[in-house]
Amino acid sequence: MGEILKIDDISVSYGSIRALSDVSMTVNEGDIVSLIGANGAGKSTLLNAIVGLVPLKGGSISFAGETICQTKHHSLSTDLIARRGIALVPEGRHVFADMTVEENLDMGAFMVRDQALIDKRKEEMYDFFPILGARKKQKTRSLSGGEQQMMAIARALMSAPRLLLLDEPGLGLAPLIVQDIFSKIKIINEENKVTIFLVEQNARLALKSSSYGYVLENGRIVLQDNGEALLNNERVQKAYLGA
Amino acid sequence: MDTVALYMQYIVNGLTLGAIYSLIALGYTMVYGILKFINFAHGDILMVGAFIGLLVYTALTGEAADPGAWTIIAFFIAMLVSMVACALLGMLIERVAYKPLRNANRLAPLLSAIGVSFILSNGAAWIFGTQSRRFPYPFANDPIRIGAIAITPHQIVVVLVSVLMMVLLTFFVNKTRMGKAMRAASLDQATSMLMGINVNRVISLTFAIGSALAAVGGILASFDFRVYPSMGTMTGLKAFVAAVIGGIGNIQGAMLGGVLLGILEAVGAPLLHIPNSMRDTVAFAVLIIVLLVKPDGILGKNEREKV
Repeated sequence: MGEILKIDDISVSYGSIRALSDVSMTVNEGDIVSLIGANGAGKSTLLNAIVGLVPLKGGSISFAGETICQTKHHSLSTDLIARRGIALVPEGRHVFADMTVEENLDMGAFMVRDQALIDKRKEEMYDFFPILGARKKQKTRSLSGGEQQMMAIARALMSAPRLLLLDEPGLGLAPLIVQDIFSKIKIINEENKVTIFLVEQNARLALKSSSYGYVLENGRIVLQDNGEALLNNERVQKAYLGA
Repeated sequence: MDTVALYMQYIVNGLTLGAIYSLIALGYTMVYGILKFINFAHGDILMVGAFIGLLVYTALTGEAADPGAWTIIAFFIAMLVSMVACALLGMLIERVAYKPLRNANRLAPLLSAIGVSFILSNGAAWIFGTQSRRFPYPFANDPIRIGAIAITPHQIVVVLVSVLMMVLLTFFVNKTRMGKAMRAASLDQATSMLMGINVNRVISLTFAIGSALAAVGGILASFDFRVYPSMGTMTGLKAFVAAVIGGIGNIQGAMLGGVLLGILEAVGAPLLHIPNSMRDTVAFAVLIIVLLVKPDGILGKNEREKV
């Protein structure tokens, strides 16, 4: 299948600090693509740029053939980018803590106008993440970290996105829960046909799950290859796999 | 009249006053919830609401109409017209005076709000003059006596209308799509945009609802306080105090804070032998105590500024 997300030579700065320099990458429809890199490499900045939360200094981003982000006045606003079919599960989950699990899912389906469809998707989510079904009337702040992460993923899926962006889905979670979340991500990709672009510090897990990967260092793409090849790459092994 | 009955009477009076504070406090708290900014022009919107209500009411009933079915209908028509007009005014003010400053220094919108406040009150003084006007009772206002306590029909109307508005607002915020979006935006603006929520529209709606509630509060308040261009200053300030007491940003808190403040004011002044001219000090004394003891307000969360 063809390319769904195309990032073309983008740069992002925070004041005088350059966070991304001349980054180009492509995500093909139906794939899981991962971006690995150390803390502060610019991974979250890249995801936030895709959804229009940080402005570009240069370059452009297009989604399904349409330019969504360019320099300031030619970019779509974040809510419109979401409406094009991109969902981001942000780093740190950013659940609506004072709202119940069910209300969070309702917010994920804000763009869906068909109540029957919303109810159907909620049921699907409760099947897919049974713990959410058990907790649907609870305030999200009472959930554990792993449960909140699942809730954030379920919320993103409520809009049936074409492209799901995941920012460090394993951050701060116990290894078993991370495994569980990654297996769910694979199912979402294979069964729901959602293209996935994920950013992760856990390079081994990320690359194992991905068909293609990019390595970001100091705001630049330094390596790219298919997941398998990157896992065996000497530089990746040294820097990210602790080999 | 024995002392118990006397204080019961004060509580009834306080409840009426408090219901009005609650309605107005909601506007402060809802705007603060989303924008973390105090809309100091909110008090003047209640004044505009009272003037519009009075104008529409007199246009419909004539100068000295006898209370009857028509005056009551006219009263509610006047209230609806005033709510719509103030909702539009609130949205306009946000669009012109606050939205362009959203990314500016935090003081800038605050100063802009104070400017809007002066424009509204001076504008009203210019158009209507500074003399105060009486809002005629649209219904016979003979007190109903329950034992030693007297309750006037106007007090009943104030409480009923306020409760109705608060029930509607609670339903809207908890059960409707846009209401939930409003709560989401006040919890986390960036994430609500990721859900496809147009936060600008939500902010506009927040101003519209808050201003419509202020219009109701202004009309209800004008039975007690008459209608004049600076009527919004003290009432607005006290409603702001009520919002802070309840926990600014919290909708239930504003309702609770308003009623509490009304009762404390009505009971506290006679209890502490505070002369009528110093009555307003009660509200601010309560504010200082709350700020010292529980700075986040009664229902406020102990939430530090998010990074």
